[in-house]
Amino acid sequence: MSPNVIRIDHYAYMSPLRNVHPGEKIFFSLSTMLLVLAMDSILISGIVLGVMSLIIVWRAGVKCGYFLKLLAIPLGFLLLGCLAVLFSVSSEGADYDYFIKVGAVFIGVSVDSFWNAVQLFTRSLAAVVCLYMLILTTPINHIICILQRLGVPAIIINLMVLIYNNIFLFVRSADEIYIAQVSRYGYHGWVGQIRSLSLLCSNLLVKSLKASNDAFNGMISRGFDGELKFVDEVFETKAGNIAATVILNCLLITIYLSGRV
Amino acid sequence: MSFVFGMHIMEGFLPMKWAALWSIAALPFIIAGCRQIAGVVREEPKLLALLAFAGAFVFVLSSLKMPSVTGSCSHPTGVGLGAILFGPGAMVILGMIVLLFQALLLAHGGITTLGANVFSMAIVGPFVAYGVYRLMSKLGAPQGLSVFSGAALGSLITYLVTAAQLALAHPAEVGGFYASLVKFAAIFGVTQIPISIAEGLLTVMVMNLLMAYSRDEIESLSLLRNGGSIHVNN
Repeated sequence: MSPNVIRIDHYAYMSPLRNVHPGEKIFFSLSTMLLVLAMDSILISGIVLGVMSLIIVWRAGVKCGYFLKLLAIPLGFLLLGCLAVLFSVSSEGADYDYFIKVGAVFIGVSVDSFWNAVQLFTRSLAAVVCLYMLILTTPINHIICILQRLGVPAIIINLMVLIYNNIFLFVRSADEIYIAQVSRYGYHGWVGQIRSLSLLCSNLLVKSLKASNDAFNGMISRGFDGELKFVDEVFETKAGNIAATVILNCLLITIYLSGRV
Repeated sequence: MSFVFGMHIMEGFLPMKWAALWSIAALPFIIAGCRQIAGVVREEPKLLALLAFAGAFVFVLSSLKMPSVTGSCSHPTGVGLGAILFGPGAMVILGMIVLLFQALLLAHGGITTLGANVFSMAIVGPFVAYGVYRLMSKLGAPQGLSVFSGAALGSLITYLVTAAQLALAHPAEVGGFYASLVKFAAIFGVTQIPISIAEGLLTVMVMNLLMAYSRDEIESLSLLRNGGSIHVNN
């Protein structure tokens, strides 16, 4: 029912790049993403889109078909959002290069708004691919580990760890309930769908609350006093990875600046 | 699941300036929420488990498929149900963690747009949903109507705030912010208004089932909502 939760996580754990220092991967994808945002140029976004996609498919070993499916996730939002930037409505046709008249108003496109929409589209897609680079190669535990080293408060870290663990338990419960419902003629018709879904949600709440209480009793009986302690994972740092990131980013900046002059 | 019409602002859609601005706007709420939660957990360690349950529950809720309204795939936001069950204060931090996990595990939303999404979905949405729900209950409205209004309005206001965030970042060449707001609100409204109504209905049905069969469990959650107990009309 919610295969994506498992799929992205699955790829992160199976990734050949899993053992690369998570800090290096975060630095690589976030610094590139920020450059894409800061420069906001179609050329740079296009280059990042290409380079990142190649790394994801070749180095991270993500299947091409699955990668394209992932790219389709934000497409609904992206297309609608770009549509809003592309078209505008005015009472005067003179504002536009191309327009159609609907009743008393003009809906039109200008050359500027067209390029704005293209710029927005490529920038967003390039940033999304940078995000995918990170999440398809880095398990959440590793990201949490880095957040902890960056000084995120303990309460947030603890909650993140517990919520992450709970998610998979609850998803399984939800799946079991869903299968039971479908095999008993659930989700039939619109009213049936919303009825079955509300039954699923309320039962999921009761079931998972019980599971979480049981888990808490287990923790208490093992000496839990409000603080969770974890063994810090040790990662190998490689100067080469940092250097590659810096070189790529310098290259992007050079291309950007030389294109401007 | 491929085409998802949610209102999570996707990665990269906001320019740097607005991404930073919304993060700064959300920060005081996050710090306050963090202090509050850290305080109550120190006094009562059991609340950590309860909060972890609530966060994971909202996450799983938001990954379920809603009955399709306009032929598109959509998910409940869980904003209304979460705010009514767990209280809006707890929802700030839980919402932030859920939004981060949605970006990292589901590719919904993003890291640079996290601040903007936290502001609309973890701050404005839950507070409005809870406020409307409490107000209607106080005025003596039937339980179902209060829950429906809270959840539906919470979802609607989330969508409107998001439309405003998009319009501020991308004002129209002709007409500026207001023209752009109308455009974004109209385009996303086609899917978001029916979804808000469906979410309101769903929340009412879930609350009715919980009230009928699981009142003890609901009462045990009241630890999270300091003060506000769930109003029950008998």
